[in-house]
Amino acid sequence: MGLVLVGVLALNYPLLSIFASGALLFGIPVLYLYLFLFWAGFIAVAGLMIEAEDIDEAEAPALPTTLTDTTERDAQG
Amino acid sequence: MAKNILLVDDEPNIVLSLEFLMKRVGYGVQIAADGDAALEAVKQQRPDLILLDVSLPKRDGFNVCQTIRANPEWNDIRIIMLTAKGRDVEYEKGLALGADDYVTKPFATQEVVDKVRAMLGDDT
Amino acid sequence: MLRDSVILLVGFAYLGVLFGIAYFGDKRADAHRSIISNPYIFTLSIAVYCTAWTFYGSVGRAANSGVGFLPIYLGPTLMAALWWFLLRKIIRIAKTQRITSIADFIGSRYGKSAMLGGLVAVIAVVGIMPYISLQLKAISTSYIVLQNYPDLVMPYESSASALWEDTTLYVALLLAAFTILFGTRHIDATERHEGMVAAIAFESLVKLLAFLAVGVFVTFGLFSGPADLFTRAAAVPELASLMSFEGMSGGYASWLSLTFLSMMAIMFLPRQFQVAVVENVNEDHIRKAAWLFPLYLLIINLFVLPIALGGHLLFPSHTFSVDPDTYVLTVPMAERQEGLTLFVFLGGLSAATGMVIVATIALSTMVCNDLVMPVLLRIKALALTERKDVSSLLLGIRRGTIIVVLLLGYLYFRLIGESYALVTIGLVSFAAAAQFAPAILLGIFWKGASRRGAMAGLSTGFVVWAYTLLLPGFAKSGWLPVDFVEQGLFGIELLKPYALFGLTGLDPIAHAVFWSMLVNVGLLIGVSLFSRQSAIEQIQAAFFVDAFRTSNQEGQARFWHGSTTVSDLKGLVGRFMGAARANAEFATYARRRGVDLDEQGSADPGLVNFAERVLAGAIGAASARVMVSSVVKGEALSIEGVMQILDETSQVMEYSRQLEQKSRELEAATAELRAANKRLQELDRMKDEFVSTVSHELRTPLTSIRAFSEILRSDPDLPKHKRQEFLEIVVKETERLTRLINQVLDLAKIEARHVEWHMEDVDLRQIIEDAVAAVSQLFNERKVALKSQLPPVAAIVNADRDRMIQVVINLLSNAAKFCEPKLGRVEVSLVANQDKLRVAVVDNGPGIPSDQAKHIFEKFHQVADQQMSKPRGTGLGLAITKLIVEHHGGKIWVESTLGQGSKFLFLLPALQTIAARAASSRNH
Repeated sequence: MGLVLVGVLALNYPLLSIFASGALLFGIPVLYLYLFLFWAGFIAVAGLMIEAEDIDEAEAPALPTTLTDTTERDAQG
Repeated sequence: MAKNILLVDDEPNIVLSLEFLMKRVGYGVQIAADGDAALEAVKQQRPDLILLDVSLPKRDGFNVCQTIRANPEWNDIRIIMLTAKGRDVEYEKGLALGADDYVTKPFATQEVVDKVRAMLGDDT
Repeated sequence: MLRDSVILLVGFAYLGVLFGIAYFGDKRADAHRSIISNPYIFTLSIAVYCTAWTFYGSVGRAANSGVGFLPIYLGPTLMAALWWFLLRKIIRIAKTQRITSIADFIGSRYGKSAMLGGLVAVIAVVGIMPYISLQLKAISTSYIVLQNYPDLVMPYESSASALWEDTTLYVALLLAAFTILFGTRHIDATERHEGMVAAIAFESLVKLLAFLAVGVFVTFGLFSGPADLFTRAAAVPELASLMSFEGMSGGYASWLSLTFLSMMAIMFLPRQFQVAVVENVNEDHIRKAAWLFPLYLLIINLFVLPIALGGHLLFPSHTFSVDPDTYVLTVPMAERQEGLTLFVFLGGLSAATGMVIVATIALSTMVCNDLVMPVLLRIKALALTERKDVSSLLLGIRRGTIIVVLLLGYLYFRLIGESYALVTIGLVSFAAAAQFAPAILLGIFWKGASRRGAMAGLSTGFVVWAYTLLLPGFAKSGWLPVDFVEQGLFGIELLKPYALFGLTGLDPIAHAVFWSMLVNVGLLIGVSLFSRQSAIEQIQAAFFVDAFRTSNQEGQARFWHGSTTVSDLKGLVGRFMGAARANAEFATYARRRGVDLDEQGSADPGLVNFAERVLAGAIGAASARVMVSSVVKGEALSIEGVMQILDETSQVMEYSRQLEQKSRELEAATAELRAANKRLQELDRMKDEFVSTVSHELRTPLTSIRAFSEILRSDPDLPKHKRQEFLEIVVKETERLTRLINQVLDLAKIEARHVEWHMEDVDLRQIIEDAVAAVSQLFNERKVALKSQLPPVAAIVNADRDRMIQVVINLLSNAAKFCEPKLGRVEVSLVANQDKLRVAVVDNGPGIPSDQAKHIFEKFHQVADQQMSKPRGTGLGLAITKLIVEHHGGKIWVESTLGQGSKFLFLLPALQTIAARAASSRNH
């Protein structure tokens, strides 16, 4: 989530405008260079983070079965 | 002298049947319908044997049994517990509290009679 | 020289190869050796995102606006980083609910609403149609350009061909055939189209390689590397602007809105939903796809700018009139690279056909399941619910839809397509797909989102979208008077589609996105907050939001409380999917649950639920529900029942959440566990106690019966009066035993809710009179006086007549039992209040000790009596009485002082007095 926020910030005004001048670096426009390099970096970081994600982390334990038995409960009511 | 038996049960019909059975083989019979009455009856006239129900009003059979065993004078009164709760725990509890035997309801009349006679040494 | 025949041959040969791959994929799937079950094929299939629009259009857009094409790919990159949380949840939901399309997903979430599903289907068709026509246009354009090889002739320069000579029509029909063959083989749409996915993945590979080939050719063949190319372009003033942000029309606002649109599009375009959710084999594949797919986008976009700038340098606009949209094709053509040109043509063909095939399958499933079927099922005359075999009808509808969708796309292309640039059409569709986002995203995270909210948000968002994007487009094509675009509807300035309510300064897309999203999200939240959800809505909401928590369908299974037989259910499923498949599905169910399905036996709720989900896979959730309820007798669970389940579920969830927290503090958790354990033991003990008490109560009369029977048997010479007395006792005790057994059974039945209650409006006075009549004999025998005091007006209650009589009889005979003969007095009275009826039974018996008063209604509780050795009765009468009164919404209690008699009272809610009843009947 945080990573996406960084991405949105980096790829929009005003950060983007810093590189929007049209100047060339090593014969390549700075704007292109910035966008593609940031893009590649973003993919790398996202890849590392997601590959490390544990599949079980988001899952809470399954429902306990005791409370699903209504007959048992009603018998006391 | 005819030996004396105390019947303790709160079910009149069960008492009636036991009374009939005991009298038929020649025993004297006393009757008590609850735990307190049972102890009172023992004080009044010491029985040779008690047929004692477990679930009784006021004072349950276990308690009666325990009280009787606590008094050395009454040590040689034979006690047969009767119960409709045929669980092993109760059986063991009864014996542990000093009952001599244990009969589960509904009982076979002959079996009860035989047990009483054997216990009183009349089975010859 | 590229002759028509060569182009056609290559084109058709390529489609043939696709057929081959798809066929192979399906064969392998049938043999359970899937070739698509890996993250790489999954990633490539998601790359169906890159259509002809990417392949040709990106360069066109880059040639006009520099980096302006990039947001379309940066958005998905950002979104992909969220897939692990977002897409995985959607897939998990779709798998458990057997979701077949995005329309089904939204319909299911909001209470399996057929209306909502239908609306989504309509939006999807209207929104995606232009996009499909865009692909047909791309195929047609590239073909025409290629036809004139090596001359560079733009399509609009060639004369429009007649309908039957139009290759595009044949392409459309061929694609329809392909889609039908591999998209509608089976009925269960959740059964993935493995062959189709394999073919799509292959196409993704082809278009990537083709594009890279052109890119490398331009950058390194025509120029000496990127530095050389960019430096030369920078020297041309009009190209220099493309390297800064100036070229981007609409500026940063456009940039942001395009990023947002594409973030939504990658998830919610129907075809993306199809490949990423419906066709997903294993949710763990997301792990790799979440970074591989953005990488694919990065690579395919690497050479867009070099080709655009290279094209500009090769064809200066003042000497050539070459459409930048065709640079990918025309640059190699100009260099006479025959092979490369053909390869590029195939790449473009791949990009276009891939999109068309997947989008058409997605739309046909949606139209069939969420639009046509619900309508057909509702038309009684068709009697669809009774038809023997509906599966062929289903297939027919889907195949028909595919043809219609493609022909509509073709029609749109013939009539309107010419006047639009590629890029505009695509974005219009993106904005349509974005309308689905609020209903889905809020729907899976916020239980409060309601069906009404979703309806309001979606429909209004759609209308705004149509008004601000679609209709102005029609107007520009001359299909609608252009006035309303320029002057506003009815000449009202505030209604100008491109400057709604005076909002200016945004480009049309950003403007439409802003307004449509604003009303969509606003209405969804606003209406949801102020509308009540139905029971099924709440259930579905809970399943969607808690998708990761509910690991099975336990709770849902309980929704069906009716009864039906296994064979009925199987028959129903068979009608839609064929008997063989139905048998296989049911066998799988039986095997998984480890149960033996008895054909004639009644189906348990779990099986009913299973059947519903299988059907949902074929005809959509809403229709499946209608069908299942047609065979399940008895209605779905009552609202109260559902609320109770929900309550329980949420309580359980809340509880487990708390537990989780506390488990960190070891001490607290241990205490909790100990307490829970104690409660369990207590419960266990109580159950044990009950069994033991029942057995005790049964053994007691049995003891007497046995003893006296044996006495009678062993003693034939008993005096006659003794015999009589003993036999009397045996009979009495037998009666007692019978009564006891009856009451135990009665109690158990009431507690287990197996009793049928015959509720009707009855006069409580009548009930009391009947009860008094029934016990009069008993009172006479016992010489106890009985008096009743009843009001003059009727006291109406909604009650089970016989059960209420039982209640009064129980109380009266109880009172009689405890009264002294001759001296005993019992009085029963009825008092009617505003909304309550109070019945009291007063006796002058011994009374009840106050410490016993609250236990007296417990099972087997008997008040030990001073006078009598043993109370009469089973000890169950009052327990049953209490259950009956409580079932009627009343309460029962006793007031008593020892030695001064007792007063048993119960209250029942009054239905209405006779007067009110008369008044209401006059109104009818």
